Amino acid sequence: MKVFKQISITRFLAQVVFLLLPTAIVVLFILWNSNQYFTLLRQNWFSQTLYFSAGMLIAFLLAQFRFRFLPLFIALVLALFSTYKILDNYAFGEFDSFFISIQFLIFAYLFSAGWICGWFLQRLSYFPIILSGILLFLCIYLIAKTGNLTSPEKLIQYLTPVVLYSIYMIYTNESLRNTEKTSGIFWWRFGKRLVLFCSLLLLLLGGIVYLMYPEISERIEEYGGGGKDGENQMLETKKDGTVQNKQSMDMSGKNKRDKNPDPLFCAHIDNFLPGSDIPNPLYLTSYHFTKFDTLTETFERDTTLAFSDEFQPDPSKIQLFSTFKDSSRIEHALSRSHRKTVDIEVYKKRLSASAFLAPSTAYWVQPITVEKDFQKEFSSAYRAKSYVSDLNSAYFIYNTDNKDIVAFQQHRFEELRKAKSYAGMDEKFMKYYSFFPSASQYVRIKTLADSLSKGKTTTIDKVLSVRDFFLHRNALGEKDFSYTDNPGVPGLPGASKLMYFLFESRKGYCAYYAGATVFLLRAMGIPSRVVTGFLTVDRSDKNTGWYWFYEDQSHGWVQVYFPEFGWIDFDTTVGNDDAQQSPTPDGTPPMQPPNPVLALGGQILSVDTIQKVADIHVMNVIFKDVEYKNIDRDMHLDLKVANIWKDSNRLSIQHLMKGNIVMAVSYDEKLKAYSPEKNAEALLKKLPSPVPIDEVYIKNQETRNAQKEAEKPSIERPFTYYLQHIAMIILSFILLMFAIPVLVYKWYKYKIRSSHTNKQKAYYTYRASTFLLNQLKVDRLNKTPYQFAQQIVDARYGTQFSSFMNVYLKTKYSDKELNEQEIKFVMLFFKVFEQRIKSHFKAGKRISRFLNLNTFLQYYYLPEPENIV
Amino acid sequence: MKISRLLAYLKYYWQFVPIRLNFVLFVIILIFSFRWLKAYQTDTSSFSGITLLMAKIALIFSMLVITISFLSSVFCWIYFMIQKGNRGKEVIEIGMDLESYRNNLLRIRTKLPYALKPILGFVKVKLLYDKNKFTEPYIVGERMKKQFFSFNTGLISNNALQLPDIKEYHFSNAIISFEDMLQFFSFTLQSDVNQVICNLPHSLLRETNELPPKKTEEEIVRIEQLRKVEGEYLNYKKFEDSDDVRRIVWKIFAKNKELVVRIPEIMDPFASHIYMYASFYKQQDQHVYTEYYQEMLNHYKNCVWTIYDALTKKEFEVRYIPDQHITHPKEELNATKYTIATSDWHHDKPLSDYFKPRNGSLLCIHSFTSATELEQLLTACDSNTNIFFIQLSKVFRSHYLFNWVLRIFIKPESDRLTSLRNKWAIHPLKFQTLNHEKTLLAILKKSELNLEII
Repeated sequence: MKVFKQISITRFLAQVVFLLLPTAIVVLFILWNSNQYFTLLRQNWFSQTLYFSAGMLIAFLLAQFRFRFLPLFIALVLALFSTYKILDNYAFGEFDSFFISIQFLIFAYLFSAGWICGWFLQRLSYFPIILSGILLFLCIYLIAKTGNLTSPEKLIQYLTPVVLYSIYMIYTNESLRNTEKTSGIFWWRFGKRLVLFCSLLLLLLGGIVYLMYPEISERIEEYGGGGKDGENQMLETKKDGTVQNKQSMDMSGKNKRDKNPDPLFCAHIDNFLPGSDIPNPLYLTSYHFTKFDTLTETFERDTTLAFSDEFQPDPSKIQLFSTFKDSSRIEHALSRSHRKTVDIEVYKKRLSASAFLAPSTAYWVQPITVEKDFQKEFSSAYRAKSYVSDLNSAYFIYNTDNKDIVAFQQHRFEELRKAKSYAGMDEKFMKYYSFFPSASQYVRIKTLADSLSKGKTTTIDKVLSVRDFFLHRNALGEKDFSYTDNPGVPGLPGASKLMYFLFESRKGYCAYYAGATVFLLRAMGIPSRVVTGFLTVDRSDKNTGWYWFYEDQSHGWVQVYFPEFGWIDFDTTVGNDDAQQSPTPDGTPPMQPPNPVLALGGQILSVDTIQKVADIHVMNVIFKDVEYKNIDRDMHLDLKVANIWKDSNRLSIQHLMKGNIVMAVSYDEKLKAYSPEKNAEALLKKLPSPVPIDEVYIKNQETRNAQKEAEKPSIERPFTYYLQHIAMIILSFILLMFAIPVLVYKWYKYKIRSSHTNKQKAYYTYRASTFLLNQLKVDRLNKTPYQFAQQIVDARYGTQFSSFMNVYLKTKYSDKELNEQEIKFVMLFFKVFEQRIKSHFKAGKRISRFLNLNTFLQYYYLPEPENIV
Repeated sequence: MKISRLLAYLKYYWQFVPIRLNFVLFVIILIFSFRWLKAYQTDTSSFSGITLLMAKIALIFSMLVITISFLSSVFCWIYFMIQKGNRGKEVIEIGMDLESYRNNLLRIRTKLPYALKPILGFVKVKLLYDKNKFTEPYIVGERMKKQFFSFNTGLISNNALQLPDIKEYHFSNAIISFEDMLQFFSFTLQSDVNQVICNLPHSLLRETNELPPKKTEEEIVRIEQLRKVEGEYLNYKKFEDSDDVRRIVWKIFAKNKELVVRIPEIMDPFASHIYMYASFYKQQDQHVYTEYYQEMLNHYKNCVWTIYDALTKKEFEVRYIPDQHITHPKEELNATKYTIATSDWHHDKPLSDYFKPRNGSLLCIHSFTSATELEQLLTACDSNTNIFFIQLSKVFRSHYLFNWVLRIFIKPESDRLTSLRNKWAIHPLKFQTLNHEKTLLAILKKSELNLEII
């Protein structure tokens, strides 16, 4: 029996390159995705692909030599099984044994799967259909489960290769089987067909994606997409490089907790444990996510909410030392018990100038200056006041085993057990904050909530039951829920993702825990909301009351409403210990500037640089934190000791110009003797003239404009934009292609004009003439050029082409120079010839024939010798 | 109706069904996928929406590709049908390419001047012979004219066909299929052809010893041009009285005024020709074990041709004397090759009637030659008669034990010869043949003639 009979190396190689290699690549994609999903695989996707590929290649080779499947496969299975048993029995150590056995099992399964694929790819002509089907569905399943589908482009990027592969395999397999096995031009023929086929597929898929793009975008949005891969899901980076909390809860995909050692900001929170100097840190709140939208299945900010206590001023838009106060927030906090006002000063480094953070519930803000020694480090600062509950403390909400803190927390819980029931609460308020969708898919969450709250009578106990649910450990002491920045499913808190988090994966980052907690609490009828901001950690006892904030402290947690106590913080996120540690030791806090007594905002009318005095048209005044607006009064300023500032640069008084918009600040002790009046006129009349001024801040118009520019939303180009451009390029290419004959003809004519020698001129005249005749389909009928000129062209069109040919042939084959008459003839020939020929063809016919690429190619086409195999 | 006949009918008509196995499988996978998706699509499933979207994209995409495939194949099929209706037999031309005939592969040149090729698809042709047998389908894919935009340029191809037997084939029908790029559909139609193509024997690359000629023949040599060697014209002689006046070369007379005649006929005084005889006479009934006899016949023809081919390359002229009447139709074909190719087993001319011991230098006999006849014949032969005994049992010979072991691991090829070889070990014909070969060998060895066993 001849084993090596009829093996075509060419075809075998082609099969390896065009069938096995793409299959290995798709398998690599599947394994890479699976490794993200199944921890058992231990991120060895490359080695695993090699196992599969090796099995596939060996089997493919053996099947090529007509080896039988069953005996060899049985032998393979036996060999693998016995090796597995040996490894299982003789590996040292329990852990080693388990680890090696698992690794070997993975190898055995993948190698065998590759073996089966390789074998059937060689043997069964229809196997690629089955294989494509299986791989396509595996890929779709894995993309849906593990793919970070944050944008339509991401989905297209993942899906395109797989979908193309499924059709490609069917085509390529059939094409390879049907292409001549040993032909010398196999690669050319097959390659040409493959390129055409792939172009067709890309065109079709491009068209489908173009038409379905709105649907894909909609679905991705519903799926919770919007976040970007590898970004911190709690923060957004602005154009100027600063960051702030996101205003949306599109917490999807992986949360990249930046380990940037540079802190975002530092804050001084004037909150200490009663009767001591022990700092009492408070979480800094940014946004409230209160509304659950059933359509998009996400928690959203509700800026239209009438009873919202969210305080979100933009400090960058408030004048320096001006104050902005919204007392309605205190009212909306619905809290009467255990409340106090806490002052906070925030010094921003990389935090956006417009970001506002303060403990809940803030109601007052004042942008302040940064001491000159710290201006390089801190870009801006503000002071804020919050109406804070005594029961809100970071110590209360840390999930820790520290006995002191636990005891501390118990005290708080005891207090909260005293809270009244929700009876008598505003119905609208209750309905809004405890809204739970009634759709059937949420029944499971409701059931879970009911089981957790079973036997719990007080709100705090119900809340604690939810917290304990997340903190629960199984019989082996392992946590049921774990913290991960890569939860595997995007789009939380989309309700269906909550289902996945609560009942399947049980791992996620803060947004997952907060979303799930609020869902469970609302299922129990407890008004609650998700808030985002920063986790506060007291790391140092050197500078009490000062806290440093890094990117990985951006956080999401839960606030629960207790009647009279107001909104109380709860953090159900488990195991996020990284955020407790700072990437670098905390720095030196900035020196707090003295509280300005007087701040005058207005326009400079005149400056006396010698006397160091100036006149100002005052428009607003802040005196001892009391602000007076819409003032129309001129004042005289004493600038002898004043520092003039523009941005962070200190300038001389010469730079203070008439017309400058300034803020003049005074810390003068004398002024402290005065007290605020009811109106500004009365106050300003009392003040001495000239008013002693310590600092003058010149406002920078350019900076404002630049800031406005930076705030312009970036233009996100839709997918169709690129498609249109591609279509334009293709169209241009097609137009250019059809214009080629005309361009070539023009080129020959140009060469006739620009030729310096008679020989060249004659040559290009010949080329242009024959090109023109060819393009107009004047057939040469296997005649020599001269015969063609004489018997066909001259006879038919009455030209002197044969006479020209005589001259041309002379230039070509003879050493003799052309005589004057001949030179003149060559010079004049083409123009007349072209006119004569053109007169025999109508313009329409000429145009249509010049567009014919077939005839153009025929002009340059040399017949190839027939290929004999 | 016999089952085999029914199966043959079904096989014939199945090729007109436009759906291929690939499409059936695709539909099955589609149904399974649909069911899976339906089961997967629950209200609480986190991924059903996105999975459905991806499945939808994949489905629309594959449907588009399939639709393009389908439409292009249907269009080409309908176009060809219209052309066939208008032009009849002109739509297909079959020819044999003799120049590139080698390695037992027949090169067939097929032209479909009015056929269009489906987009990235294939046009395949199968030829019908012996009433109900088909050749393997081959692709006609080259365009007759090279053009940038190829439409209606006609298709042409040179294909190697491996036909099972060495004989003359009469192709009466061609089955032309228009297949799409994914091989999901195959639209087929039938067209009449009337083409006789001869599958010729091939040389087995065997050397033969020089054999002595026995037969003396007149050589007729046509002198193409006048050639003069040292004052004398070669192959011409001076006119003598006995010469035929019609042989006078007047051209030379016009030149030299000499009367010369051509000397085309030379009676070689010595034996000049080797007369080769190959008997196709067979005693056994031909209607059983047909396939075995056919394979043996192929082998016998190859052996006879090999011997003839090897001898023609030696010094003496070889003349093959057939034992059956065959009309040689084509001048471009080698007459002997054609005669050997079209010879068949027969019962008409026994060995004694066929072989002339006085003239015959060489006699090819085979395993089914009658022993009694051979014995009688050998007595009339002299020592210059060479006997080539072709043992036909060797056609199926193989290393049985090794083969059986190997077959556990390696699948044998699926051609007719291999399958017959596999059955040969226990076949009754094997024992008959071997016994008869043994008898013939004993007779041949006893005669002490020049014997060569192949």
